[in-house]
This record gives sequence, structure tokens and C-alpha cells, in this order.
Amino acid sequence: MSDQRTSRPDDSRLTVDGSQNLTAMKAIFDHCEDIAFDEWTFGDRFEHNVFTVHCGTLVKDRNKNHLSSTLLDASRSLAANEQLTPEFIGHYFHNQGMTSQPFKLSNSLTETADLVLEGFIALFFDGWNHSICYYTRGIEKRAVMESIGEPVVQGPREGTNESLSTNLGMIRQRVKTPKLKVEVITAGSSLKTKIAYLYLQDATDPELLLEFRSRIQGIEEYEVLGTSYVEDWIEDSSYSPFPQYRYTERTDNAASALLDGKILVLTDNSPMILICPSLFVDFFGTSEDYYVRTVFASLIRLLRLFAFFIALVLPSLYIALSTYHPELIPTVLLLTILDSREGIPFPAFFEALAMEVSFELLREAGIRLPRPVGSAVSIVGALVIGQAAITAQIASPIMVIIVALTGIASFAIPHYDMAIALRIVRFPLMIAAGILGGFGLMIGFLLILLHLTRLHTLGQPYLSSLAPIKFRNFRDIFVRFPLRHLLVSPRNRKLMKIRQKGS
Amino acid sequence: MKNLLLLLVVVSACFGLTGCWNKVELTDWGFVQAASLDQESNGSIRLTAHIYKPGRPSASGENTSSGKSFIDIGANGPSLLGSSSLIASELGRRLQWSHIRVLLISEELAKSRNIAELLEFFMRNPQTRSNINVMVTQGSAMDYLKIKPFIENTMGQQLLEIGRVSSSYSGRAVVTTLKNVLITSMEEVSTLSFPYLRLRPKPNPSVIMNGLAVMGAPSGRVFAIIPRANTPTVLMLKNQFNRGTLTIPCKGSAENKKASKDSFEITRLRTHITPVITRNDELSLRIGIQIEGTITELVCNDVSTATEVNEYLKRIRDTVSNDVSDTLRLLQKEQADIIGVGNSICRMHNRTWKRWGPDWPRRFAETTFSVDVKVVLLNTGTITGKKT
Amino acid sequence: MERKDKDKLDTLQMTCLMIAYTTGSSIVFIPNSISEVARSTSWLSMLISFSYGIIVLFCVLYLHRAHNGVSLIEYSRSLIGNVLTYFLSLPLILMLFFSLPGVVAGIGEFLSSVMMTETPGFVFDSLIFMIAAFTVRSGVKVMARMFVLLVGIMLALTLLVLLMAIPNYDPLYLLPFFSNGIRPVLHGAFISAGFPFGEIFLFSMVFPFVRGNGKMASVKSMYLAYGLSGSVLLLSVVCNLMAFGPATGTLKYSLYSLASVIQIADFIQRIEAIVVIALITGSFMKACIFLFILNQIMVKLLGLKDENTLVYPISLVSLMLSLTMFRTPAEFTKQVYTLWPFTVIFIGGAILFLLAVISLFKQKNRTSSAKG
Repeated sequence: MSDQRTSRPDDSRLTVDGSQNLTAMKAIFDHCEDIAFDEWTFGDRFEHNVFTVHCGTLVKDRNKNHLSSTLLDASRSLAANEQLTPEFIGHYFHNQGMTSQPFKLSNSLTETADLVLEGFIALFFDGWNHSICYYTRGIEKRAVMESIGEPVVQGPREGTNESLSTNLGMIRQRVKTPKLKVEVITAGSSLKTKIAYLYLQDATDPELLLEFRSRIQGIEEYEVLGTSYVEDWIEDSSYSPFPQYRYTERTDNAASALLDGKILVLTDNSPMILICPSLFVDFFGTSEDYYVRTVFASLIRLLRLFAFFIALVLPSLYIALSTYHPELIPTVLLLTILDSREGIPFPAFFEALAMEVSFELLREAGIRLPRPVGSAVSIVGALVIGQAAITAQIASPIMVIIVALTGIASFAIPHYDMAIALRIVRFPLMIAAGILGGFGLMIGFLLILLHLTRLHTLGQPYLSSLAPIKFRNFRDIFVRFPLRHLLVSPRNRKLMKIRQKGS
Repeated sequence: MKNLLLLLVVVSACFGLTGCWNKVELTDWGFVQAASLDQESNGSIRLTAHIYKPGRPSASGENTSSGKSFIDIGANGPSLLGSSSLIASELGRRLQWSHIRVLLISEELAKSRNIAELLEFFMRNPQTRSNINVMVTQGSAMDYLKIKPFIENTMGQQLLEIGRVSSSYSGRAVVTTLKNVLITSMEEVSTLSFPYLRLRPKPNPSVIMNGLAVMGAPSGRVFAIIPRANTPTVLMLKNQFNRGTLTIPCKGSAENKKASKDSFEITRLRTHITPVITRNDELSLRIGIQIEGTITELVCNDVSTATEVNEYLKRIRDTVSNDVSDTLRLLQKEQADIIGVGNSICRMHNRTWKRWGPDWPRRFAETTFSVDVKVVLLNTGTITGKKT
Repeated sequence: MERKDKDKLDTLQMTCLMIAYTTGSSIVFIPNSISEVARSTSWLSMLISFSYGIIVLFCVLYLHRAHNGVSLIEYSRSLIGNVLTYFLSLPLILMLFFSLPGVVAGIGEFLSSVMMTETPGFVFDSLIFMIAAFTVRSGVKVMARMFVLLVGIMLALTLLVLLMAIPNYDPLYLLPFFSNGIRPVLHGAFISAGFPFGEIFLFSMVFPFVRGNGKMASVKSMYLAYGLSGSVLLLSVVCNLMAFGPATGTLKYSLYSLASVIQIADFIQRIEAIVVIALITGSFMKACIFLFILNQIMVKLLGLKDENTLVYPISLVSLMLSLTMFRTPAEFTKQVYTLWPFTVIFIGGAILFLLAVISLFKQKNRTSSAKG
């Protein structure tokens, strides 16, 4: 018996001999107890053999008898006295005779085996060297519910689940134009994951698409478990702490990204949708901004910007000011800080570092605590630890306040990836401030700015709209102009241009 | 990968090679809130630093002790920098000058040394800011730092606030900062006035403003003290009078100290001094003062009809004119041009100044002047204009 | 390798580069040395030297247009030949090897005399050179993108400080005019024509990177940008004069001292940090541009293919120079405020005017020979 897995599909053909096919299929699925083989016969004198192969765990509805419907459909074209034979059936299906369900014909063992693993049911007729496959997949999937990481107060709560077809369907439901193109790649020989990328034809920059296509080439050989694997494959700089693509699990986010001309990547068995490319300024907006009113949305965006700076800078600023530049602190504040710092054994830098690290530990631990215990422990624990540290005079009250403010500010950043980036970058800044004070902080900032300016995402400069500066886009970055300005431009800018050209 | 390695090498070099030279913990500094300069008997200068003493952190809920929140340490060094390092070695912490509020100079020292030279150390030091207030004290300046402040933490803060309130709300003090000293020392007429403090020992030791000390070029020493009574008028002439009270004696009882007096609160005062150069190359000053204010005490006459109001305003005008004339004569007697006439002539009539510059004090003493006061009454308070 | 037109800078980015170049490090030191000589009429000196700068800018833009946007080295090659170009560019290179370390040494000295007194100067200098080298190596597009943001920050902070100090201004300090005649004013104009206004002639190495290949989209905006930086500097001079009067000449870092006297409502005080940010940013940008210009001159002279080869060596040499060039503050003053203006006006300006005149004659010959 030849090794079916390594041979190319052309080499392993089905034969006319049914029992040989059966043996071959059984050999492929050797030790796969969940693959069910059923043998049947039909005909006046039960002379024709049929066997079906399906994966019991993937197929939900076993009561639909595909076999009998096949026979029924074929027999409708029988002439009055003809008998139903496998050759006739083969003839019928080769001529694309009408059946009650769509079918696939295959004369290759490996292809049929793949289809069975996809959830198809394969019918083998003795005397015909093809197999008929019907789609019957019906495994339990998670229900469509609100995405946990992206809750909103007002707005749709439709989140993606692990089924690619459901997700694609939900997106199609929002973007009802044939210009929404969906292209599918299959990756990996063991996982055979389907990767789908979507784009809106006239909204996406053709060069962007070209760049994306050239990058995603070659991924077919790799085992892709989820969308993050795709991200790693196509990103410009894996070592940069800043994320170059965004994730979302909400379909309205995905739809608006499509309108902006971005490319979406979805993977089977992963609910995360990858939005590429994602610019730095995109990380400050959420879909909820468009569901609340203009003034409030603008103020909240400014608050997020403020939170960004606080989360990045506050501990380093405290270290720099208290250790290197006490002359810059207003006198009254300084005397208060002095009172609270007298008696603390550690220098400010180590104190800040220790408090920050413990906060990070608390945060990581809080993710893994079981739900009923988790929130109680993290809140009370943080309070108790903070208070205990102050009483034991290991930390000064002002340091606890700073660390708490920083933590809260980093929660205000809507995208998890960007918040992680902030957490990472904060520590080198603290070290720089601890070594050279205000000057070190400035050097750190310049280095970060240089890095961000050099960074590209899918060929576009990462800080687009800020550097190179485009004032037109400012309408939707730090403030949000009323929607009637935004819906014309920049969101659907390309679409509008093309429509104008066309009409 | 190579870039990452390079980065690691650079970062570890940063750690190993830098010495964090300027890194000083907050608890290693002694924050000086005020300083005083005194003349020692052997001619050297004693620098006393008034340093803030932080209280214990009150995290445990107990109240901190009611001890003093400051320390005074003095030293007698060869120079001010030398003195400050002596103080630092006595304290055990380095001195941080950036939060100093007030500099006190004793009268004896101010009269014998050039003030600008004395303050050189503070002006050049990068830590100090140029808005430190400078005051001259009657007697030894050290004693002023020893008394316990009423509400504030340190005497430095208290003295600063005294100066501020006196200057803004009662017109009894000027606010002179290091910046003023620096700029005035470069001006053509380098005459500058400092607040003059007096220590009142009983019943509780407290500090009061007692006039102005005038420093002049070229010696840079204090050569005159303007008494407290004339200080508001000097401020008026300098156009630095913000708010203050004017006491107007009743008609005919100007000499009687025990007679009742009206009082008038000035809310706005503007002075314009126009120098006029007469034909025989002499200087005459035209002083115009515009006052706005409200009645705060009314005991002499009613002020309800138009004639009564005019009478009242005339009394104010007379009082102010007399005060201005008296004060100007006093200034002329001392040859103290602290109202900036000389600088004004230098700016506006530069060529004339080139001739007059060298013997300006004499010329100032011989200047004639005319005073014109205009008063506007805003309101009479919450009671009508009838006297009580 | 020719750059594609779309890879070049657009007008806004070029104007920001120009503002950074002119205002960059000068905002720190203005008007110290000028008011030392010209006293209360320093602003007039600034106006005079600004007009000199406009003339130089005009020549630079004319040459840029006349030679279809190639750089100084290239059109001097076509005008006066290869050998003479090498000869003429030698003083240019030496000038840049003075001014680049000078800028960085200046900011290092500022930081160590004002903010962090115990830190040795080499720390500041080496870090600034390191980042400048990284920035220049990233290419002119990245540099321009960054600088648009940084220039905005620098100008905003400067203007904020000048605005907040309004209670400290006394316009009478601007009088008297001409207390000592016209000579001090001209002396002040001479100093500021060297630093910063006259240095614009080196920008002829940067203009090739703007879009248009000689036909710039908006020449007017270049003049406007230059005017903006001139006005900011002039405003700074005037405000410093109004705040400090006759003492302006004794303060080494006027804008910093101005920021330290700001006190509003009793809690906005000690905002010198804002000025320090603006100053470091400005000097950093200027150092980057100088490094870029020097790199470009060498690349074009030696015909190198990879433009980034020499950046690190030049930075290292300049770092060494910045640490050793100025032994005493007096030397710094003499070299920067006496020798450098002379060099900029009479060598840099001379080279530029010479090339402009030759170019004009060649144009005339070409048109007359085309007609005749």
C-alpha cells in the first residue's frame, strides 16, 4: 500500500472496484475511530454496493439521507424501463444532473479524504471511479455574543466567533456590495487553515493590495493557528514594541475599517479579525466614538490622548524631577513631597521601579484568577498592598498615587496592543530618566519619535497624518467632527473620487 | 538581530559608564527657605541659612510633633560659597538654593558694603531664581529668622507673604527682587529701594514693615532710610501703589493727633511724571496723580450733596499734594532718586542726559515740581454718605 | 541613483526644515552677544542682518531654479570646473566642521551650566550626536517628517513663554535709541548676520530634496518661512529687552532667564523646563541638518553611492571636536561671535555670490547666443 499522505493527489486515483476503494479509504483513516464507514446496497436484487464515509464528530445531522436523495434524483431521469446502475449514476452526475443539494465530484483518494475531514460525506459507488461529496458540516460553535475585550455602552454587540463562514456572513451583511472582495488561501499541510482576506475594491489603495499580496505569499507552507500568526508573517518590524496591525472582534469595527480602505484578514477557528495596515492614530479611536455625539466623542478622544501621555511619562517624570531637578517643582508641592519621602529607604528610581513591577505582577495575576475571586482580590489586594506599603514606609504615598494613575491611564487606551506597547516603553524611559534626569527623558522621547517615524506598516509610514502631516485627516484623529463631514472624507474618500469619475 | 545586540551593548554601556552625576535624592538636599547676611565684628560676613525640616510622614495617623519645622544654621566663611559649604557640612546635607524666598541683609552690612557685590553669589548661581525678594533689616538679620512664624511653615514664606500683602494691599512696601538688583546695577541711575524691616519683640515677636532702605550708585550701599509714614507716597510716585488707605484729618485739626480722621480706600492710582526741561537748562517735574477710591470711614462731614462731595474730594487732593511735596523734599534732601526720573530722562531725552548725567544727584535735589491730583469717588460703602 | 520626485520633500516639510535651521540653536543664545554691544537697539541689528539673510536666500533660490534643482557642489562643478570646486568646498567643509561641533557644544554647555551642573559635557554631546547620526541615517524624508512635529512644538513653546511673560515687560526699556551711535548697531548686525541669518547659504545643499526639480511649488513659502523664523527671533529679542532692559547683555541664556521670571497666579512658576525642551529640540534639529549638509557635501564631492557611509565617522570626529575645540568660555565667545560671522559673510557669502554672478553671466551668454 503506497503512503497516501505524501503522494500527490494525482497518483492516488479511485478505481472502479468498490472494495479496493474501501480498503484504500480505511487505510488512510486507519486508527481514526471517529470516521464512520457505512455500507449499503441498492437495486432490485441488491446487487449494487455503495459505501459512505463521513466524520462522525463533524457531521451533526445524520438523519439526512444523502444516499437516498442521490438515488431519487438520479432515478428521475430514468426512462421508463431503465434500471438504476452506478454507470447511470456516474453518467448523471458527470452531466451535472440536478440534485437536491450541491455536490462535488472527486476521483482522487486524498482529495476525498480532505473533503471528509472538512465535514463532507462521501459516497462511493461500486463500479464508478468517482466519489460524490455533499457538505454536511454541523459542529457546535460558540454563539454570536458580545466581544469581551471591546464592550460598548451604546451600539451593536455582535462579536465574531470561531467559524469563518459565520464571520464572513456577518461582514457581508453589513457591506452589501459586490465590490467587497473575499480571497481565500489555505495554509499548512496538517492544519489546512483557511485564511480569508477582504477588501473593498475602490476604497483600498491598489499599491497597498499589491504589497499585501506579495507579503502573504509563502504562508501556505506554514501551520497557521490563528490570525496572530498571519500578523507575525506580514508585519514590517517584529521587534518594535508598537503594533502595526489592529485586532477587533466586532463586525461593525471591521466594516468601518473596510470603508477606510483597509484589508481585513480572517482565519478559520479564530475570532480575531486583523486590520491591516493600522496607523498610530487609529489606535486612539473606537467604534463607540461614532455612536455618541460629536462633542462628547471629541472630549473623550482628547482624554485618551492625555491618558496616553500620562501612562507613558508620569513615573519617569517623577523620577527625573525628584532626583535631578528639584528646582522645577513648585515649592509648596515640594515641601509636601519632602514630608512624605522622609524616611523612605529607597531612592526614587528603585521605588518607582519596584512599584511598577508589582503593579505589572498584579495585572498579570489578575488575568488568570478565576472570575468570582478575581475582581475582589485585585481591587482589595491593590488597596491593601498600597496602604501597607505606605504604613511600612517602603513606598511614599505620592509614588503609590503615581503608579495608580499610570495604571488607570493605561486602561483608558482602547486597544490592548497599544497599551502593551506603552507598558513596554515605559520602563526604558524610567531608566533613562533615572540615569540622566530630564535630559535622559528628552533623549528617550526623541528616540521613540525617531523609531515611530521610521516605522512603516505595510509600506505606509506609521505616523501618517501626523508625520507626514495631513491637516485634512485631523478631523478624525484627536477630535471627531460631525459625521456629515466625515462620511464624505477621509473615510470614503477614494470611493467618492471614483464615483465622481464614473458619473 | 545585529541591531538588537548593538542596542544591548549600548544600553549596558549606559549603565556601566554613566555616573549619574547629578543624581541626588530629595532627602539628601537641605532646602533653604530664607537666608540672611550679617556683618561680623571682624568685618567678615556671616551667612545664615533657614532650612526646612521635613516632618515625619503621618501615614500612621498620628499627628506630627509640634516642633519647629525649620533649622537655622549660620557660618562665617571667606566667601558666600565657602560659607554655604560650611553650613552644608554642619547640616549633613547639601544646600539647595532654588526654593529660597527671601534674602535678608542687615542694615549695618547694607550700609558698609556694595549690595550688588554681596548678592553676586546668588545672581550667578544656576539654582537660584531671579525673583527672590531682598529686604534690609534693622539690626541683626539673623534674629528675624529665629522667630516662630504665625501660620506658615517657615519664616521665609512668612516674610515673603508680608512683603506681598504690604505691597499689594496697603501700599507700605516695595517688592524688590534679585532681578531688580541686577537690572538697576546696569542702569544709568542705579538707585534702588528695599523694604526695611523692624523686629517687634513684645508681646509676640513679629516683623513689621518700617519703611524703605535706599541703595545708590556708585557705592552700592544703603545711604538713606525713608520712614514708614512716607513710604506710601513714595510708592505713589513710583506708580507702584496698588491699593491702600488714605487717612484724611478733619478740617482744621491737622495738627491734633487725637482728632478723628476720615479714611478713604484707594482702589486705583496712576501717576504720570513728566520731566520738563526749562529754557535755562533746568529740570521741572510735572506730577499728575489720578486716584479712584471708596469711603471707608466717615466721621468729619457728610458727603451726600454735590458740594459736600467736592469739599471732600478737595480735602483728599490737598492731603495727597501735601504728602507728595513733603516726601519729594525728603527725597531731594537725601539726593535719592528712587522714583526713576533720571532713567526716564536718559530714555526720552538722551542728549540732555549726556550733559546732566555726571552730577545728577545735585540736579535732582534742585528740581522744582508741581503736583496735580485728581480724585474720583466710586461709592460710599454700604452706608449712605451721612456721617455716623 | 536619482530620487523619484515623489520621494522628495513637499513644501511644508522643506519650510519646517528651514525654520528649524534658522531658529534652532539661535533661540538659546539670542540676544546675549548682540545686546552686549548694541544694547537697547539690538532689534535694529536683527533687522539689518535679516535683510542680509534675505539677499542670501534670494541668491540660493535663484541658483536652485537656474540649475534645475541640483545641489551646490554639482552646479559649482558645472560653473567653475571640478578642480576649483574641490578647492572651494574645502573652506565649506571646514566651516561645517566648526559649526556642527559648535552647536552641540553650545547646548552641552547650556545644560551643564544651567540644569545639571555636575554632569560632564561629553555625556550631552555624545548622546545628541548619537541621535543626530541615527536620524540622518534614516534619510531625509524621515528627518523632515519628524521635524515638522518638532518645529511645531518648539515654536509653540517659545511663543507660549513669550506670551506668559507679558506682565514682566516694560516697553520703556526699549529706549533710548542709539545711545552710542550707529556703530554698536552695525556691530550687532555683523554678529547676527553670522549666526543665524547668514548660514542660510548652506541650505543650497538641502534644496535639491524638495519636489519640483528646480521649479519649486511655492517659492513664496520659503520666504515666508524665513520671515517667520526671523520674526520669532526678533520677537524674542524685543521681549527680552523689554523684560531685562540694560541687563540683557549680561544674561547668557536670555530666553531661559525670561522663563524663570514668569510667575502667574502663584502656581504657574518655574516653567524653565518648557524652555529647556524647546532649546534642546531646536539645537538637536539644527545639529541634524548640519550633519546632513556636511554628509551631502562629502557624498557629492566623493561621488559615493551609499549616502550613509560617512555619517558615523563624521559624527565621531565632530564629537571629538566639540569636546576639545573650546577650552574656555572666552574662546567660545570669540570664535562664535567674532570669527564665525566673518567666515560666514566673507567666505560663505562670497562663494555664493560668486557662483550666482557666474551663473547669471552664463545665462546671459546662453540667451544672447540663442538669439544671435
